[in-house]
Amino acid sequence: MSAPTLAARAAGKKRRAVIKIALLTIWAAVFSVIFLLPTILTITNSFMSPGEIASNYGAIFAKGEAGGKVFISERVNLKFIPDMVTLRQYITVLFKSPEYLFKFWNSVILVAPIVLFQVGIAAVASYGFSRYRTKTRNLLFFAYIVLMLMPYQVTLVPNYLVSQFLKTLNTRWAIILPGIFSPFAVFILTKAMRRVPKSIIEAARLDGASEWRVFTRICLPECKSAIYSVIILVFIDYWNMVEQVLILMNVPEKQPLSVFLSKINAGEISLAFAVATIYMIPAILLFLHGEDYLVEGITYSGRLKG
Amino acid sequence: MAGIILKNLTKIYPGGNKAVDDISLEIANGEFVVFVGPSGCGKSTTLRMIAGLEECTSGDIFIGGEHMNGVEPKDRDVALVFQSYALYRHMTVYDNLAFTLRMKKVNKKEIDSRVRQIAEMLEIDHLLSRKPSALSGGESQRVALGRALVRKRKVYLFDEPLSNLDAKLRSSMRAKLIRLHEELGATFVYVTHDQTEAMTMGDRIVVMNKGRIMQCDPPQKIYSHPENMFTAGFIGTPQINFIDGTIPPDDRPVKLAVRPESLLLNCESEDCIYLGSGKVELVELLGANMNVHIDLGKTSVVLITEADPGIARGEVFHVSVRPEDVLVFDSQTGLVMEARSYAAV
Repeated sequence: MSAPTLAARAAGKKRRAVIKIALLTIWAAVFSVIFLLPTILTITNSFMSPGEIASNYGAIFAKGEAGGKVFISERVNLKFIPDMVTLRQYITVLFKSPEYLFKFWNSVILVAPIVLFQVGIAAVASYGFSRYRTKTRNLLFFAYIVLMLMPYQVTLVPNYLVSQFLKTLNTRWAIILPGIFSPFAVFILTKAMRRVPKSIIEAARLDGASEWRVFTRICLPECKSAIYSVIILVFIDYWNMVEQVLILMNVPEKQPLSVFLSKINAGEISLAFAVATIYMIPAILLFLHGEDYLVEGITYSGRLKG
Repeated sequence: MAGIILKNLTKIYPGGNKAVDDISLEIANGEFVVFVGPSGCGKSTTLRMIAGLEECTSGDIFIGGEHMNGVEPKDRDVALVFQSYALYRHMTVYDNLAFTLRMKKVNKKEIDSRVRQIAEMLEIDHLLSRKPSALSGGESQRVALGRALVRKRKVYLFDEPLSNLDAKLRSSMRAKLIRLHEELGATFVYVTHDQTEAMTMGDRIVVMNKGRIMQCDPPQKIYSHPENMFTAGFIGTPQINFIDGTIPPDDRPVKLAVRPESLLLNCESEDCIYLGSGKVELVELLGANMNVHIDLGKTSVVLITEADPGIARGEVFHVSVRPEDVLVFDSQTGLVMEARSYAAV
């Protein structure tokens, strides 16, 4: 084959590669924008004045016969850039209406113990699953997987009955206890702990480490990425919970911001954007802090929840 | 420091696989013993049983006179260097070395001094702040060695620690380990499948096959006086030549074994025993020497000779051997025979 033909072929190949990359980039950019639009809209709109919000979105609500606001289907004016940037929504939410901060605090005191204890208990359980060979180990682990694969709605009624039996219904324990003993974290961490090389554990034992030290000083740090990804995923899962709260803890003053947010949307639309933005901050910070761990943890665990 | 006694040690894994089959051995205090054998012969399992990482099915292990069956690995006071190095990936080199001292609650000043001392000795003092992922194979190997040596132990165990290194590094690490053994005067038990390591490092070599000890002797004796065909065949590169033969008066079938360097080409001396003639099949030039593969008809032999351009493929040579260089093994039992009178086939 002559040299010009080879060069032409190479140029054609290069051109095709460039077109392929360009198309992929456009495709990725379009999807990124679609996914990011609601977040961008929420953040930019949080800097609008109540009047501007009302003029843009007032049409979606109208007075009902009973006097309450009801949703009506009319077109709204989706607007990204405020006419005038103002912090009035934030000032109202943070300083004038402590109710929102109480709800935020409710979220924190529900989610923090769930994340903390779920990861702690799951770490110990997964260490047991990965290190000890017992006759019931595989059966028990299989039961964990089956439980994990069940939709939450399936376990809601048993959870309700157990809460009723334990007399925890309408208390925070009704949310926290089932959250602590969730199988999801056990599944992810067991897979991670099984990847810790046996020789490292044996080396630690020969170096004089007790079982507890092997767990805390070797296995936990070795599974750091999986632990971090579990923390992020569990946090996001419970930070956004709605059904559990409505069924198991239907006490308005104890409800978290996730439940309250839907009520704000139906009511004080002018504050909804600021509240939603504040609501997003912990999850975003957590994600940004542990992004690398999350990616690594998910990659290794092979499959994700849901 | 302490000696090791293994008494009728057996290991049967679940499923019935007998990895170690009733072995007994005494290792003296300060001795350097090398276990060698093919893959699956039970050498690593034996080492792991000494370390306490595997429970023995039956038999007894004594370290420094103390009965060790059922004793936790951390309480046996042994160190093990793993083939994979088994470095703690989330710790720096310093922390890897210090870990065992911290577990023994040694004070910080003492830890620092010992870590730096061992790092200097192994020439890894410039790597102390690095993580294992930033180390080369040779550096990882030295860190693994340092982790074993940083705390004084009764016994040091090595499970093929040089097998992942290149030939040059392996050679220098061999020399380093020999020096370390001399300096420490501790009991070293070393497992390898590399006979060069076995021959150059050990005071004694334990040759294992199918879970049993085939022979346990100093390297020179293992090489020149193997007790059985397995040992004769396993030790030595190229492999010893086996030639079928018979011995009078009843023409009992035997195997004659001759080391490649003992075979002679076109020997005219009357002392030499003529084994046969054949064409050169292959010549492997190794620098100063060469391996010559000759087809004798019923069998092929390999001999080592000085590099000679006159020896080429297709040439015909007479192959002979001196009587004192011939080993005779019983074909049935595979054991060496004292009588060296034979009739070559």
